[in-house]
Amino acid sequence: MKITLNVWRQSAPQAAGSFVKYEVDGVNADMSMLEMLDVLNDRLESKGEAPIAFDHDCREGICGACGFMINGVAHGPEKEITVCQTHMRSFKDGDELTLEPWRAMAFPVMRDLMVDRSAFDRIIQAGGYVSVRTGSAPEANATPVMKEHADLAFEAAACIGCGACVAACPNAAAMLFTSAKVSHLGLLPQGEPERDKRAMDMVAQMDKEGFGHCTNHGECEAVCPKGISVNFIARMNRDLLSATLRSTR
Amino acid sequence: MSWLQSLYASTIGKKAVMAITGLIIFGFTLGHMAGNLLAFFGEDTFNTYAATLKGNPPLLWGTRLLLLTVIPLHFLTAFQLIKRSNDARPAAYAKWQPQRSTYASRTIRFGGIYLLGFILYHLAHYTLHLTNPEFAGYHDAQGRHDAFRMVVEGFSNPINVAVYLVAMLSLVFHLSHGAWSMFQSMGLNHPKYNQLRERAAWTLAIVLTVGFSSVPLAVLTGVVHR
Amino acid sequence: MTLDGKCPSGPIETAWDSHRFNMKLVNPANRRKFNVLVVGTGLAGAACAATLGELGFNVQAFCYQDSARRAHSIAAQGGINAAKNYQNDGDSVYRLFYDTVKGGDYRSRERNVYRLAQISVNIIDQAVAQGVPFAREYGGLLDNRSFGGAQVARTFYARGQTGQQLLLGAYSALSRQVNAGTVKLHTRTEMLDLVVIDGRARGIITRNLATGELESWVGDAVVLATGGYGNVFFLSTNAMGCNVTATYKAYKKGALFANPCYTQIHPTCIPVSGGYQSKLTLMSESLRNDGRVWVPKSAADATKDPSSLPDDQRDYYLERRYPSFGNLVPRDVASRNAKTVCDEGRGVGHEVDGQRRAVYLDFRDAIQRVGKSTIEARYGNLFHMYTKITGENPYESPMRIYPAIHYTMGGLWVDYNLMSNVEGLFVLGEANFSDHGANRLGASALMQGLADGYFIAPPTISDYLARVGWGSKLTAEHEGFKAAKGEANDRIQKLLSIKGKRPVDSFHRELGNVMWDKCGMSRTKEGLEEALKRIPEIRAEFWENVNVPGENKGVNQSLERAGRVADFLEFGELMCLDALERAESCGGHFREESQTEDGEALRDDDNFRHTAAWEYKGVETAPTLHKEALNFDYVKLTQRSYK
Ligand SMILES: Cc1cc2nc3c(=O)[nH]c(=O)nc-3n(C[C@H](O)[C@H](O)[C@H](O)COP(=O)(O)OP(=O)(O)OC[C@H]3O[C@@H](n4cnc5c(N)ncnc54)[C@H](O)[C@@H]3O)c2cc1C
Ligand code: HEM
Ligand code: HEM
Ligand code: SF4
Ligand code: F3S
Ligand code: FES
Repeated sequence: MKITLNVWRQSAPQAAGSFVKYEVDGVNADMSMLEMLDVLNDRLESKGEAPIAFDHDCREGICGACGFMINGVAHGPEKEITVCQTHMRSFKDGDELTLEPWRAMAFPVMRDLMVDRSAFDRIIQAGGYVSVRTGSAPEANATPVMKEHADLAFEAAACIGCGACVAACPNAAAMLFTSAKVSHLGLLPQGEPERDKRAMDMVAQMDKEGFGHCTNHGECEAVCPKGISVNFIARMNRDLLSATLRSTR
Repeated sequence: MSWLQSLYASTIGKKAVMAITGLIIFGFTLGHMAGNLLAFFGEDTFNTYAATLKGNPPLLWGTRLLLLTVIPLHFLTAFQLIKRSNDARPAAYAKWQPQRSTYASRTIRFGGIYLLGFILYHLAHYTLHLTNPEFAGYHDAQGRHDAFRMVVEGFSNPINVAVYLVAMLSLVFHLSHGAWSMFQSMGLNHPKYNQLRERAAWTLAIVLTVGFSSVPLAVLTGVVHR
Repeated sequence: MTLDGKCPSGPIETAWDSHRFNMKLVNPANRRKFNVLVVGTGLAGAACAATLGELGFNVQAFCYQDSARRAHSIAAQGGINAAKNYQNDGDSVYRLFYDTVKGGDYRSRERNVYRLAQISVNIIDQAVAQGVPFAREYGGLLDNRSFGGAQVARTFYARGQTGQQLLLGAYSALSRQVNAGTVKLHTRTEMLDLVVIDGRARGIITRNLATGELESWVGDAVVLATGGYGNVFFLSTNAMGCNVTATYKAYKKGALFANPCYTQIHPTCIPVSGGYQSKLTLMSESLRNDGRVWVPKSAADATKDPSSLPDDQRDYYLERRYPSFGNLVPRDVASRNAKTVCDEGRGVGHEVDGQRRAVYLDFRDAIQRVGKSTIEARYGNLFHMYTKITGENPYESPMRIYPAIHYTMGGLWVDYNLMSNVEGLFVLGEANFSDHGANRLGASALMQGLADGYFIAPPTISDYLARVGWGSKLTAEHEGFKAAKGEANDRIQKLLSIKGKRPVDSFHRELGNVMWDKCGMSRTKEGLEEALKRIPEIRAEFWENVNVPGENKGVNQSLERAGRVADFLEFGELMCLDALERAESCGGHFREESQTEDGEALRDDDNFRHTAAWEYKGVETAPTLHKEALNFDYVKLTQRSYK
């Protein structure tokens, strides 16, 4: 098949960017989106042109490195999937695709389709952990955990930190990401002692990074490759409000 | 009270304020709408109702005070959030396709701004009588303020009715999203009841809008007349 | 050079405890005066950096991804072993130890492995305390499954995302230390060289992948936890960025590289669909519990619709050749048999480079036996993944699978303290050669990475630091750093100045093909010799004809890849050399010359019961081989048989 791409090209963080059109022929339906870009990049490299920069690593939808907008949808048209798992069979011969980086104040563009998501790391650093020193852990089966809670915690913990939720949210909010971690740890007895503090610290950091608020649009859940539910956002709201009322801070 | 300040400074705290103020305004409008429906029972009933309210200063001023705090808080917070959201995405997408959000959620800001204009106009119109100073001088047979006549005359003007109806349209959208969104913002969420929450939001929004709109429409079509 | 594994003596059960007791300690007040550089934030690196940070050392941690959370440990699916014996099915530390040594085909150090089995139980405690959401039973206690043909259920898992959850646990511990100020994290930073001064590892040279800047880092100890080198094959289940650069550069600076030829092939991966393929995706082995593996009896049927072929025209070759184990034969046996039938021309699926390399994994009979819903409950997520990648529905037509490179047992040589022969250079996780011998058991890599990172390296590094003392005046102005940085810069400039005709990937693919054909699932003397001729030719062309566009400023992904491929082009040769030298078959290393009549791997314990550790002597000069003999006091050596 032949695909026309409109790709955002930006040579450096401060540089002005623009869309550049590429015609890619010989595209095979079994190629992944990123393999199609590899093919294009090989062609560009052979000509001595700078290849299109994009983050990627595992290429199996788990590391969370990849991600950009395909025709206005974060991670492209298929549900619960990352761009690295999006295959060209999702498109037709002759399609024109617009590829654009995540756009958010807190995710500055570094180059082309690559953005800086270190704000996510700082949110986790603010409190996304259980304070347990190596070697100080009690016997694992000493604390039974209700299966329902363990399963729900797992669902929240499945977040891959890709940033699609921010990209898709009309307010560029990091609510889904932050709430996934707040909920994962808050649901488990191991995370209970720090539950209030964690919610307050992580939300404060999230706000400090310049992410927006939540209008409950639900765009984030719709594009999340791990199908993280917006129910976790409500849970985080509850945790934060009750923590603020309850804590001595 | 620094914890309150820091709560208000946070996005989640602000949303809680939106939700609680929204809920209070919502509650008021439900009552207000029910009261307005008394217009269908004729001049006497309606004026009695209006006079009863006015004759009860604690209730009247209590409600006014509450609304005077809550409505400005609602829209001030709204403007702060809108600004924050705009700052959070300085460069818009060349292409963006909504996946899950609704027309109602995406337009809640614009509906809100229209509602703000409407409320100001509405107060100038019927409460402060700034637009129609003559309203203040209407009295019925028992010497009470003739609110019924004021309403009927007010809605005899089709432009006026249009302003009100557009406001009610904004309200239906504002609330069809807002009325369940506020639960989410306050952290009231349970998968088992979420669907109920959304249906109730729509139902109430429609009841409210139909209820409110019925009065101007009834006047315009002559169903309610003096 | 004599290789001393520095294993403690005495009974194996108490060896680690008594060894720890004999270690020197660093006074808590002095710990922050020590600088430790930890390269890699996978399970091994993140766990080590976090633990050292907790102890109060000053840690600098590095990874090439944009976040520490993305290390390739994230991709591990199946689970992690631990000798908890929660299932009361007869497991014990001793049994896990025994199974691991045996599974590794008797090519690992007994004492290292025993320690690993001992520590396995602490790992689970630690992970659970961190909030790792392992699968649980209705009673609220942890669930286990049996994995990779083990006779006991000792594998802990978190759906099909165990590696992700364990890594996020380690990442959270690391994040906590970043917040506490004990660990400084340098993401998008690639290590390009190791700096060795007066025989001690004293620092590294890195390139900032966002700006291109080269930087020198001085440390009192250097920890490499940079993962495996499976990407030397180009196509593997590894992430695109996995590389050998860090360990290979350490090798060039004097660290010995042990058993590079030990690689593990995973039998159930999604086959290559075309020449553009960039990586391979693994499907959990558990599929073989219910799926039946077959190819058409006749090569002429390779392109026919599989469901139209009646049973008598199918060859269920594993069931035929291994009646008692059937489809559940070990990974290497399953893999080699798949290759054999495909080489016979009976492979199915897409034709790539003139050959069909895939076999069927068929669930038809299982679905008939237990019903579609049961199969869906067992493998729903895997079937979904398969459909996403191939666009086919495995409930209706059989899956196609083929083996792929998955794990590398070889790595930098380390002693019992996980220190390489270069003083102060510690190597952890998949990057070292340690505990899996010639073959790794399923669900044991996560265990080893975390054991190394949380529990073994922190005390051994402390001991080392206590012995060398603090107060070093060394700075990055030292000649050693300047020279290493200069070299790194020269190489980058060289790569950028070639401006030839071929893109970087084309060389990587070419190398990968040679490695897969000659040094892959089965190896021969002739093949390896041929590869040893071919690789230098590819390398020579690379240095003349590669095109790396742009400059060393800002993000330049071509340059990143070029550097890694350049190292693979040297390292591939070392692998083939090691494979050639080891003229026996053992574990994942199968030399066609050394097999039993049934085609099973045949060990040669008399000549090869050793670790082969290579010393660098120059790019065009053959490295020197050092041998560390392996002694078995507890485990009895036997020959595997799966008939
Ligand atoms: C698909 C798949 C499934 C698997 N499933 C299982 C399983 O079920 N059970 C099991 O036990 N094992 C499994 N394994 C094996 C196991 O996941 C790995 O062996 C293990 O996670 C390796 O951990 P590590 O910490 O050593 O390295 P990695 O997790 O690979 O981390 C390497 C780190 O080093 C950094 N790095 C690398 N090179 C450089 C450089 N030059 N400069 C700076 N930083 C660098 C990277 O950024 C990264 O942070 C699986 C492996 C794969 C590929
Ligand atoms: C004064 C004019 C008004 C303005 C400017 C306004 C503005 C807004 C805005 C912008 C939001 C969405 C905030 C966000 O992005 O999440 C909102 C939400 C809401 N509004 Fe209003 N609004 C107004 C009037 C009203 C009225 C009259 C009602 C009730 C009848 C109401 C009830 C609500 C509710 C319930 C929400 C949902 C809160 C939440 O999501 O938690 N608003 N309003
Ligand atoms: C079609 C719909 C509506 C009609 C017919 C209507 C009618 C009236 C009338 C007649 C009054 C004056 C009562 C009096 O002073 O005797 C009034 C007051 C008021 N209305 Fe409405 N109203 C409508 C919608 C709304 C809406 C949507 C709001 C939004 C919040 C609103 C808020 C108020 C307020 C705050 C007052 C002032 C109450 C006071 O005196 O303190 N109204 N309305
Ligand atoms: S919540 Fe979903 S979309 Fe957001 S970062 Fe996590 S995985 Fe990505
Ligand atoms: S899309 Fe944005 S508005 Fe809330 S529900 Fe998701 S964060
Ligand atoms: S590359 Fe890892 S999720 Fe896409």
